Amino acid sequence: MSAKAPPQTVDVIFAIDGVRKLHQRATPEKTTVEVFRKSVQAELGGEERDAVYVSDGAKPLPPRTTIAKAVGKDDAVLHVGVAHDVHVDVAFNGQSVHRDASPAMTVRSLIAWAIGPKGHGATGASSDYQLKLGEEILKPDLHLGQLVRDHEPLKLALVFKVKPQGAAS
Amino acid sequence: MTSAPPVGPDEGALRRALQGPEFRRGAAQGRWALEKLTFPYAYFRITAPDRPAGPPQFLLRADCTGYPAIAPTSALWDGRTDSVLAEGLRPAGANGACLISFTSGCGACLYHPIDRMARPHWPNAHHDLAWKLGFEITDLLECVHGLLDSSDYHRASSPEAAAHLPGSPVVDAA
Repeated sequence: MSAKAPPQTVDVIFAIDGVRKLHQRATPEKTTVEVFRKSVQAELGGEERDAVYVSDGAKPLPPRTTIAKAVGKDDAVLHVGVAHDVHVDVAFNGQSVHRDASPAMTVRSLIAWAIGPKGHGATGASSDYQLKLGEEILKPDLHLGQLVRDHEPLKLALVFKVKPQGAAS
Repeated sequence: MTSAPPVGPDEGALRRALQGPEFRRGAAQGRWALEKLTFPYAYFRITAPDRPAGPPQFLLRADCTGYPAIAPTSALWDGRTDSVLAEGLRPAGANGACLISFTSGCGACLYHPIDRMARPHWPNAHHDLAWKLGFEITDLLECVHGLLDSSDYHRASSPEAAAHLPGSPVVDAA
């Protein structure tokens, strides 16, 4: 009788509401998103995180989606959190625009929206801008849900990227 | 039977970071890859944006002595000769001049506050760009990737082969 092959696993990289650092976990590829979510919740405790998104996903993944399908061939990052809209205000040149966003929306995607026609209609490429939360420059891969605590609105500032010039001799 | 020499805390910390989710995410997204690790030197291929005259990647060599308490010092590297990439081959702007962060303003290092050799050039400025407590190797890689992923970068004469070391990828066993 031949031995059963071990289940294939996927190294899942995921973010969590309110936590800046990413997590990673080897997970059998046929595990459902719902089982994965519950195991993360059991390990972390705290507020019930009832949804799993793929990075930049607008809506939670269906609970029966397998982890293999969720991360896909490109090893997409997942986001485990509370299904809710993040209320975001982005200020630029003295004006502010508002949108509601998925907690899995990345800072990079928010920058692209903020400089676009539905945002501030700014000139230049996304790569020339960055977002600040207070004095902190936000990394482009952060999910908005990682920045939020207790569902408070996010107030961000869109600024040009600082490019250090030559020091005075 | 001889055993491998013990790994120092700086090398151990770097090796853990290279297995961590932040590094793996950037690698999976195609923004960087580890080319070789021979501590204290780590070589990374950094993906560059498409330009009509420019390579798909640049090689970055980082000296990670004292990582992460001490900032790395790094430079764009020529894998063909295992030496600093000639300034004429580095990323340049529309006027053909080397982008300032890749000039040799302070020797063979990034001319940027994140580099430990260059940091003293801006003693009272750019604190948010400088290496600080909590930074990891991915902060350096994101910085360099961001310098390239900019409308300032127009071209580079560096050939694609310069981004590779002979026999790589190699990670010396700990």
